[in-house]
Amino acid sequence: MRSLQYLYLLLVSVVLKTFFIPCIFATSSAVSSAPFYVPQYWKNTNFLRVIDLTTYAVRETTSIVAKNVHSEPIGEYYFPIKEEFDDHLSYIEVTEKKTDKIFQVKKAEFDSLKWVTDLFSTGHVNIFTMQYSSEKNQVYCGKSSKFKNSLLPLNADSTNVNQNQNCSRIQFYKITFDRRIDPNEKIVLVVKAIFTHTLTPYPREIAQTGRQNLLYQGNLYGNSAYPTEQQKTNIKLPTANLISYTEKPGPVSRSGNTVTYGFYYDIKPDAFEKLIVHYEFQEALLTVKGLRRDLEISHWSDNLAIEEHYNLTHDGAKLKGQFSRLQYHQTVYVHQDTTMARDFTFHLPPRASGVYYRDEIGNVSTSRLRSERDKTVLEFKPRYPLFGGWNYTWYYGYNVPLDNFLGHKSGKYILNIPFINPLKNAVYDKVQVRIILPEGASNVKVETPFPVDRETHTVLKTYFDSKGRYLVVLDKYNVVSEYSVPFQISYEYDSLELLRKPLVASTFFFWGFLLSIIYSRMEFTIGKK
Amino acid sequence: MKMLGLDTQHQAALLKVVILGLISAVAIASRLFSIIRFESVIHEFDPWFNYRTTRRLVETSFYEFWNWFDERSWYPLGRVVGGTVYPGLMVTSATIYNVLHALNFPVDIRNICVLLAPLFSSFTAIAAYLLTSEIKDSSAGLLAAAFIGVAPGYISRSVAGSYDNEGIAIFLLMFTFYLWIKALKVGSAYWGALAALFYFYMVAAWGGYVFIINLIPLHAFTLILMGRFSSRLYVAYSSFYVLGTLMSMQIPFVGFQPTRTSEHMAALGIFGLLQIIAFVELVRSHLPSNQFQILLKGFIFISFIVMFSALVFLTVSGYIAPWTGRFYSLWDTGYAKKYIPIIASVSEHQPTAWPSFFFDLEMLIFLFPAGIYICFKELRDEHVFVILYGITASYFAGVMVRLMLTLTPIVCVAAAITVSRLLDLYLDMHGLESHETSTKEPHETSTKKPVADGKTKVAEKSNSSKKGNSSRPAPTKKKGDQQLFGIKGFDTRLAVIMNFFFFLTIFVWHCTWVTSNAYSSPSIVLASRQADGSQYIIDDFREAYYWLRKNTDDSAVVMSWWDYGYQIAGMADRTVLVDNNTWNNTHIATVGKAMASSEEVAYEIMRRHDVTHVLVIFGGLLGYSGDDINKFLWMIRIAEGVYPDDVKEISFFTPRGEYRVDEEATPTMRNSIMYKMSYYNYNELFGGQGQDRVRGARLPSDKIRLDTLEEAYTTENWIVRIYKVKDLDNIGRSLKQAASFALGKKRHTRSKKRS
Repeated sequence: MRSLQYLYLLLVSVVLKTFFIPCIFATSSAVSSAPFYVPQYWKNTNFLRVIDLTTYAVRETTSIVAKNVHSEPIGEYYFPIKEEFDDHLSYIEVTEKKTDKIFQVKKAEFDSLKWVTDLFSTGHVNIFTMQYSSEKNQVYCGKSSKFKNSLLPLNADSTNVNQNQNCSRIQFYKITFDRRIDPNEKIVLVVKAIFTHTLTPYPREIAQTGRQNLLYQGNLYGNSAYPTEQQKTNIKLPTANLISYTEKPGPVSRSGNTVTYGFYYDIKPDAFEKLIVHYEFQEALLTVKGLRRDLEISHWSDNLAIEEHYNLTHDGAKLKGQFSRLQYHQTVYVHQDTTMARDFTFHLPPRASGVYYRDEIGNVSTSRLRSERDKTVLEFKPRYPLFGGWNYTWYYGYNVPLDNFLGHKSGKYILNIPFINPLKNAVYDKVQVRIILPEGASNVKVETPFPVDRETHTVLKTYFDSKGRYLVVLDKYNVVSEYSVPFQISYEYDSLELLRKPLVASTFFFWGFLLSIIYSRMEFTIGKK
Repeated sequence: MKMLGLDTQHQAALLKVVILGLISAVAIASRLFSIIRFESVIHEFDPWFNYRTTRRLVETSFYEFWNWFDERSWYPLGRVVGGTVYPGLMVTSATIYNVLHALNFPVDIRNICVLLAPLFSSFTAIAAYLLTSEIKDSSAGLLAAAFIGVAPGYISRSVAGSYDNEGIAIFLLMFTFYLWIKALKVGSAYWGALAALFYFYMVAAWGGYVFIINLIPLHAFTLILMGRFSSRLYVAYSSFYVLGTLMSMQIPFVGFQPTRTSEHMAALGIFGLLQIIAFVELVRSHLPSNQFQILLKGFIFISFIVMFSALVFLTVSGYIAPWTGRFYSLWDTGYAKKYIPIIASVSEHQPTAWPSFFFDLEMLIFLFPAGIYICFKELRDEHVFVILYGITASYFAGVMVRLMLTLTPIVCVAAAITVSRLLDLYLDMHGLESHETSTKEPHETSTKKPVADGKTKVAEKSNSSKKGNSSRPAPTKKKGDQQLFGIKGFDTRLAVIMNFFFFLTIFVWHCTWVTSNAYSSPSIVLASRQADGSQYIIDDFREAYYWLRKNTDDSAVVMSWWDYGYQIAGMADRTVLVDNNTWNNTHIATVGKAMASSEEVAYEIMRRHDVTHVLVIFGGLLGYSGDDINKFLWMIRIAEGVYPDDVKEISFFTPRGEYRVDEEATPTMRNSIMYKMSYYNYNELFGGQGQDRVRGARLPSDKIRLDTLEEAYTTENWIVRIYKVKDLDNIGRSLKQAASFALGKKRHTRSKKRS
């Protein structure tokens, strides 16, 4: 079978070489679009990149000075991200340096049938074409000269393309400016991209008080779909303890907790060179696998009840062997300096009251609450200290006066509240925000400053409800603390609705009494007393 | 006197409702200490199983629950939950849950479970009121309700969070008895059927239903012996027994027991006897007396022979099971210790210490005999019942601590009769009037109606009592007594009333104190005081269980002593080897043997049972005395019962017969994995010799070595220690060799470094 397959592929390659590739793609239905070639209208005259590795989420800030080399004014710029990184992209924001204006960024239709290899670390940029077999419903990629040997089948609909390290697709982000840039004019862009789960602990297991080292793997060159004249990359590390880092190609310099790559000159588009930084990171890598945040508005008690359900995992280097309480007691003075997570802090709004902290089997008594002028601080400990690979779930909740977050304007109520209340240095795999509006709310509109993955409007029936409350559910995957920005939800609410509950309750009792009156006047005995 | 524009009768009714409502509220409120002090959480051990099954019932359907095979307990045997459980409690909670949810009240099932026992306590108060009202009058009823509402003997099993069968069973017990008395009094099949219905509920809820099915026949039998056979008794008992038995057989756990076990034979026998007597009565009414005598003797002789031989034959041939061990231990308190150590090892199965009668019932225990005496004086059918209940329950309460629970209701009833009688006498304000009014009294009573037209407000209770009595002709005699011995002097009245007021106050104070101090601890959480007086919660159990729940594989099998089985299944959600449903003595003994053996033997057992984790409770650091080393002797005894060749209790005692953990501990003791797991790394914590604060001992200074187990988690105060069972060695060495080799290598490298 296998040899047959190769034979077939060989045939295909011959066909491909002879015929138009686009032709094949036109006939195929499995691959959604033709290869996407970025029009080469720009040239980066300067390209500065800062990779911030001081937290679990990797923050990459790129400043690009781009020059229009086309003959017409251009209003768009494409920013590429390798697919395996795109899966981890949590946040992307583009501003213009001078004006601090935020530009619109959109995922361009996914698919560049280009691939970049890191197998050949000669500094060359290898651009190959992926090829698609319509019968096999598979995409193949390989180097054209050695096409036969390095032919690697990939599933076109599989998202897991990057299992082959040397085969990776590129996602383009289309940046739309607020104006068109004239030929030979320049524009300075700042692209801020945040990636989660791109750091891996190495070694994978450490002792209870061991040092944790992380591996960062990325592209030595900046992500660019255009040729770049000069380029530099700064890597910011949490400490000066650096185990190893990619030292070629130069110039590479290191001072304190920064490693600098570059300047490099005349880089081709989609250039790739593997960059590895192995450094020490003595902090817990906290991943919130799931967060459910319930916001319940009550006009009756003028109260906003907030409850957050956390499912947390320590994704750092796993605990080698087992946990020893004795060692834990003996090393109490160095706990601050280990990757163990022992306590967490949340900043709640001022005037928060009725705070509770529980988990699946009841109340957890190890928490403290303290009121400050502009916030309430909740400090709490999980039931057990969290080591690498350990999990913990909990929920906590509190009440705040509604007027802190709710505005009233021309018959409309507007709730303005942060999307999440971030846990320090944690990344969120999934966030679900549920807004429970009072019974009778109508004309509900949600405004979020960023796209959410799902928005659902349903009904929730709870205490003393007759027709149920209006429930809005917002789901978003892959969230970092940058999303802790307010979103707005507006609704109309008739104040007569306030009377609904007492009316329903009194009707209920009225019927109860009425029935009992009727019943007590009935006679059910057979025969006479 | 007019109040709220109502006449006296309505005033009394209103007052009764209000008072009863307040008593119910108090009954609930006094059980909430644990929620206020701690939190809304399920307590102790068994409630965790009930809670877990209730959750299961709520999450799935009733049939799913009925057919539930729980593979997470009794590994690898599993447990057929539907067939081995009294489902009444779970079904009750689930019903409440579903009703509330249907009405859009999304109450958490845990809160329903936590508050179920207090809720049913308030119902118990009402049931006690009804029962006592039938026996004496409604004023006694109100007192009984008040007593049972706060009596610690009942609170001990029904505080918020104590989600156990007894919580609802006592209500059902009282209510079934009330319905029985009612059925007997009225002689109606309707009440008999109602009694049967509640008996069915009781069967579904608690194994203690056997008490009902023996007490009611006993009552019927006594009445027959007293020559009080009547058609009322016949109708009441027959309808109760037939319907009750048929319904009780619908519970899978009970099944055919009502026809096949000795515990239920008395009820069947009395049923047969009643039929015979009824038949005899019928014949008697149709025959001349001398012929009847002959016929009767012959008939009785033959039927006795036939029935007895049938019983013997059925018992011998195995159709009727003999008494179970638990019942033998009711007659012979030493029985369990000798033959079934597992029953004896439970503290609540121990004989009651006499102070606990006072602790649980306070002054009621003194008033109880007086109440029984009063019952003897009147001796109507229902009084016979109270006497019988009182006597049997006293005996059982003396045998087993746990059965204090069944004694408490009748003590409350009897005491209420006493106090009410006393207050009737001393609070009767008629005597304060001139002699003329008191002489008029009998006349008024006989006219029945306007007695209650009370002259003073204070006498409201006794007023209502008279109303209660007026419906029956019998008590007029009693009224006469009262008049005869009426107390006239104001000072005497005051002295007695003040005294009793004082007693009652003390009683309430004592009950509240006991409830708050002795019975309101969830026992999964320990509370202590910090230096500054603030409360400090020791939450080690939940710390460990939650760790297991979150950080071990879902298929992990945890071995621990059976006490913690339900908690592990409930809180840690992991498979356990043995749990509190101690149905399989051999399996428990196997765990006991593993705990009591050396590492090699224990490892073999653990591997054979797929054990991945072992959990032990160790109180040495904190001074928590309920730990596994203190329970260890029971493990050894139970293991010895099954494996007499492998485990010997004697080898855990020093030559002087002491049970020690220090330097003088026997080698068997020091080699047992229980000892090793408890004290592993403990010396190092003290930097030399560890101090065991429970047993007040200094430990041997040599380091404890574990080859087959490794410490996986130890809680903050070292109360719970979890060990992981090591996998087999990769290259086929025994784990001991492997550990020695690793140790030697370490030593080797160290010495190399030194050189």
